[in-house]
Amino acid sequence: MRLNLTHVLNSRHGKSLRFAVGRFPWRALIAAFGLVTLSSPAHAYIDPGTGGMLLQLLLGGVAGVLVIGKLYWLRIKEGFQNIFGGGADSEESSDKDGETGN
Amino acid sequence: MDVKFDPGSFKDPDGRIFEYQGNIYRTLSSSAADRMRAREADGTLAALIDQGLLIDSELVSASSVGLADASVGDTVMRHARIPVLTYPSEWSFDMLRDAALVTLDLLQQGLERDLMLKDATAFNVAFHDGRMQFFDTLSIDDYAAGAPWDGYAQFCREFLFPLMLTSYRGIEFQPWLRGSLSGIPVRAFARLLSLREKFRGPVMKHVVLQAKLDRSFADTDTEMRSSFKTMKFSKPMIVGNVAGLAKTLRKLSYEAGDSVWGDYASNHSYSAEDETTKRQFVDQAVDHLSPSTVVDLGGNIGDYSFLVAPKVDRVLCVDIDPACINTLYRRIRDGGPTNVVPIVGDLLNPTPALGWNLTERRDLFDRIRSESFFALALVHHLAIGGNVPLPRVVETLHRIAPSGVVEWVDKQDAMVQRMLRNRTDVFEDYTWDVFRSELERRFNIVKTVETHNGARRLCLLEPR
Repeated sequence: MRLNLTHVLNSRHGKSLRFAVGRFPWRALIAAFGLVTLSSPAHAYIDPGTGGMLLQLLLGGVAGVLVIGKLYWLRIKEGFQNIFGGGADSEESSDKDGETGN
Repeated sequence: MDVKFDPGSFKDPDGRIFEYQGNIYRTLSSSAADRMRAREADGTLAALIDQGLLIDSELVSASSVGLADASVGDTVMRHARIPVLTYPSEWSFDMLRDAALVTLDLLQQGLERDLMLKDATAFNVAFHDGRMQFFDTLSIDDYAAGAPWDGYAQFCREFLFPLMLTSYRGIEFQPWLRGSLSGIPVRAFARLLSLREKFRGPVMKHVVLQAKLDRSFADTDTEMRSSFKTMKFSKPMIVGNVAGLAKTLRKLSYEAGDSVWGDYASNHSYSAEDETTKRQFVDQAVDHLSPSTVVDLGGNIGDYSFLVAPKVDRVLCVDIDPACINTLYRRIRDGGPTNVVPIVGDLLNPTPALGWNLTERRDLFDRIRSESFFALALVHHLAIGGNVPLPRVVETLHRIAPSGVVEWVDKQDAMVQRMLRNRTDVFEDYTWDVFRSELERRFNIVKTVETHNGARRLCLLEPR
């Protein structure tokens, strides 16, 4: 499953992902993961469908789990880039919705 | 042309409800008309109506029902009229659960026919003719391959979470649904549950994980819809989710722990003789007044509603206690009279007008006004329990119906004594003389009968 995930992410984010993995210290990963899991909602307006849509993906089996995993991974990457600054060039930010990769 | 559009029907651009010459119709956009014609032709509508899931509905040409010049399109849908629409915050536990199961059943059968429900609000369902029935035909849409069930989160907020709140936490859901027309938000609900409850399978899935995902991604720009195509999301996944939800709902238990009135029938203060007197009085009162509609205020589990149901078109049984209304609903569902409408309602704080422009949902009094009322063993709860002066009590009764039966409960009555046992008696004006003169200002008192050795009095009231 780990291989699959790497495959999915690599195929979409080729170079940038390899770059990130290469210099990824574990402490930063844990710190960044903390950002994802503990951050509180930023604004009052909520899209009511988000959790409902994503949960259905998650219940949809392995492929859904991978999609969710990827979404979290992109957040980790974003957090990581914010911590160390300068990493997010314009190509990277447009990458984050996963639709404009390659 | 007297076409009256329902101010609460505006969200779906495909059609609006309107009333014309006493009938209920729905306008149809051209695409909706095509869809509905197809559903009528392939027998879907008939099948759902036959099973009692969908309210009686049929397509008619506007000109055939005198609507040719009404600018409502060529084809309209005619629905059975629901004389009194009640809202989810006025339903009991089993009513909301049955409404949820009707919605899921409809969705499941729809998916088998390549159809989808485009939303899943509890307001698509009504209590009508003794059972919960779906009435928003326009919600039945075509299923698009690979799409998720868009109504899932709404279903959770308006059905699943309120029912879980009551079942797991013992907190009645009605005030929550009155407070928010869109139900209980997933993140708020996740905070209400204990750690132990969060480890229940369905809670972990539908509440904890959903809340977590919502918290993580609701405020991002991430587009998710395309992911469903990427991962080949399919119909069996929705079917599995729907079946799981139905199973979860069926397993929820309802224990009315704090019900004040649930045991009323077994521990009320009536002797057999007094009870016979009261039943006879009410029965004869209905013969005398011969109303077509009755509202039984504080009707408990509906004993008096059932008594007179065969003699009238409709009885609305309103009670503050959700447990009583739940018992009443079960009695109706298990073969009781289908012209009795169970309503959870607090006369000291009735459902107000709600929603957009305060016209989307009508206030309770606007809906329950009837030809006669019953106010049996009620006045002391309003006047002493709720500190409402007697003139105002009588004024409000008169506002609800111009005739009826009211029971006066004197201060020496055991029930009133119990209500006063821990408080100062500030009710100097709570006397039969004051009450009678207030009644006489608005009604003709035709007859009074004493029970409880004079501590209670039944009064038959005619319009003045």
